[in-house]
Amino acid sequence: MIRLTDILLGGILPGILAVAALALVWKLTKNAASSWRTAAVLSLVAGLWALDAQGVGLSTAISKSLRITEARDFLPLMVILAVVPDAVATLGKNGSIAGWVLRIALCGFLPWRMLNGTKYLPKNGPLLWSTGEMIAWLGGTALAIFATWSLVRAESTEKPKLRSVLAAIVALCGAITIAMSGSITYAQLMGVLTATLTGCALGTWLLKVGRGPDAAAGPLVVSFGGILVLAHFIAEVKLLYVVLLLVGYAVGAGWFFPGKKWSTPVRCAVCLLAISAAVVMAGLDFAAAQAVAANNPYMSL
Amino acid sequence: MKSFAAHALVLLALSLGAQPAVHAADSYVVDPSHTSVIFGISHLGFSYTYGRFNKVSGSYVLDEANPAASSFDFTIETASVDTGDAKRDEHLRKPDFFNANEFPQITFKSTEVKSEKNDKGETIFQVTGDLTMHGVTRKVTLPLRLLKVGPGMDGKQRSGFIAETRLLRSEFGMTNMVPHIGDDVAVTISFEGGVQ
Repeated sequence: MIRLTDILLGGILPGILAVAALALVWKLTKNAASSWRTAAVLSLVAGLWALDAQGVGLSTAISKSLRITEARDFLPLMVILAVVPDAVATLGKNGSIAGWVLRIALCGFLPWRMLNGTKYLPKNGPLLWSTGEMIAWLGGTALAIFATWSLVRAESTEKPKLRSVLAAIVALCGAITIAMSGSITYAQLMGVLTATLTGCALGTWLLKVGRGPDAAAGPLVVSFGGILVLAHFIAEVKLLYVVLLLVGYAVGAGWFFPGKKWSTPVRCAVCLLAISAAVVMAGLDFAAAQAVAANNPYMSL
Repeated sequence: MKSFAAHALVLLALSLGAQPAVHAADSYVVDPSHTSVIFGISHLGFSYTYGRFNKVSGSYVLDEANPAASSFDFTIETASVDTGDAKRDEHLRKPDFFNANEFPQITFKSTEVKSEKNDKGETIFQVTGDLTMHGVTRKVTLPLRLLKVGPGMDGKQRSGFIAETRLLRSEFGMTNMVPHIGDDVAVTISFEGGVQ
């Protein structure tokens, strides 16, 4: 059940904040990277805290990001941490190497931290995964997030407005897919990312900023990847849908054969096909479940 | 004479010390098939929906003479939630409610036990302890009413309790759909255990 306050606090508020922050920093510095990063981090963190504050109050919502009880509480901190590698990378050759090392470390840390203490990586009790399975799942997830981050970072000039819009559409489809797979809570988190990307895209269009989601690749990919990790492992959204969404984001927002004539139409086609497939299949699953439960009184909720 | 009296006192003291304790603490293992954890929650104010957890385990030490020496330790498998509706149970296991994949167990560990008699002369153990649910640990006090201590069908000693209490699910970070799905949850726990 999504209420009006959820839309206001998790959608409208971060969206407006993203446009305002992007416009303000752009006006003051004319630095596209700083504008995108500031807007992305402020909007994401404010949206995540605002959503949580409805249930527990603002001060508790903020303190939960440090005293983590649920894996999702870790997202604001990860978003802030994800700014560091790309910022460090601007500090010359040594900075570039340090940036890569930090990116690899953060991508490895993200799935481990998100799943630590869950049934997959329990603090005590029987292990669900063998050592091989654990390495495969955690390593594979880290590699997928790292590859997406690298692809998004690698594209800084080609069609920034289009990539901004595609990234926002991917996040929206992600929210719909997760919601139809049964988790409103994680769909709301993806909703905050959708609002952030929409606000940033709008700011980029209005102010002709000249950069796209690559300028804030760290916070955006880490939040997108983090929510997908939660969606698959905790909320049991199918792996295929999660992979399709990640492919959609990497193709829509990242490097895709720049300079080729066919790059833009194929980019749009591949991105939209991947995310449409995820939404349609999740929709079919949802419809099938509804049909089975047609006479179920619980569905009257 | 004085020496005789002193020897007699020493002998008396030794003989008293050698007596077995009249009331020893007994250790029990919870019998899952005679244990119920039931909850009731308001649905939009129209009705109450009741559910239970099907997998409960635990152990306890019961010392009626010295309640402070008693202790209680329970574990509930979160995914065993059962409200008689598979679709609803699936939703309850998701992150919108119990988040069973992230928090597979609900645990209670006592930290303090006191006993008192109620108006009917029944023994109530006020068991204070740490209840961990949905990743949040809070102190709660369960008023465990002792139902019976005695031999079971197999002749071995058993004991059994019942407790009724109320919890606010929002205090455990479960804020989704409050207040439409009630915040105040009525909980009834009844269990019995066999002596180890």
